[in-house]
Amino acid sequence: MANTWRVNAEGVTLANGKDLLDVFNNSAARVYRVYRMFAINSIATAGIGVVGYVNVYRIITSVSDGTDLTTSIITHDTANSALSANFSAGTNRTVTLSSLFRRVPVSPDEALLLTVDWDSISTVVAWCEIWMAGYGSAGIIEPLTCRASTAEGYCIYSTISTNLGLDCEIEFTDSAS
Amino acid sequence: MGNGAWRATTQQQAYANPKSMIDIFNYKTPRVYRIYRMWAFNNQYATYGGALGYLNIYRTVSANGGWTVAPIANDTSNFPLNVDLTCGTNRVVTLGSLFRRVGFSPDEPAAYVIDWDAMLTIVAYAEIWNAGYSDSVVDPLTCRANVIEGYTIYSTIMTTGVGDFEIEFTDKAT
Repeated sequence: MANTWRVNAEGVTLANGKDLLDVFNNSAARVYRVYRMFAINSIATAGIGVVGYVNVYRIITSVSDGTDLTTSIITHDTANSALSANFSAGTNRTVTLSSLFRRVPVSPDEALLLTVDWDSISTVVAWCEIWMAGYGSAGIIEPLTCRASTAEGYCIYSTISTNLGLDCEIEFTDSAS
Repeated sequence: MGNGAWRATTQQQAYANPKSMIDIFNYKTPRVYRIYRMWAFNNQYATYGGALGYLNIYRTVSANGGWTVAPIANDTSNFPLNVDLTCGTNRVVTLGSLFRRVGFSPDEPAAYVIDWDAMLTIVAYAEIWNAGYSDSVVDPLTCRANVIEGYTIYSTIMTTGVGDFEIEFTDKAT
């Protein structure tokens, strides 16, 4: 097993052109592999929903501003060695977008009792997994990878204009090679 | 397979805000426990006034009181668990890191209706955690040997409804 970590952010307000959650390797000597990403519609209060996209992008060069969530990164195993200081996570950071891997329509609106609709379906964890490349295929399919000594990362990027939010998660591993 | 797989399960637990619906806790045993999957089932037939809220997955650093939940071996040839590995419900837990929160509809499903309540009775949809499952590379949530730590499904739902909860874990020497 590889040292596994997770960063999550709850109730991240959507906006058009916003980094909801990202991880970024600022040329650390380690390799970080992103296994899964989630965007969960955990809205319990009334709001005006707007359908739009969350996008999975590679990001490059640098990240700046926004909210640094590095200290909020959680290890799956408390025996794991600490992450490199050159690896970070954040939300609402200024990112430089590179390749678009996927866009996913989402319905950020409050789910209701006695109803099944897109909003409530989007609370089911199995359906909120917006990325899982390489999962269950160890050694065959590469996960999204932040190479050692390279400035690159990955982000869940919103192109939705609404004042509602989503819970976002990125699961990744930290390896020497 | 020798995985030493176990399951803690409890039925018809009443929701409260806040409440540990089910938890697993390692009080410094020399064994390693890995949590592979967690479920929350909306298994109730009586009429309740449902109220939306969250189920949360937390790491814990203490667990006391409440009621014991006796884990069940997936294979009856498994060695018994260490006595200092315990599971429970309604225990007073000290919360550590929040891994996830899940919006939940604790209301009774009704015949002839497909709604959110009914959907959360389906096993595949009730799985609220499966990190590391089916991938040998990704670490499951782990209780390290000789460390005081555990995990809980923690309600912040205020309702009169009830639910069934499960935690699936393995018991290993390393």
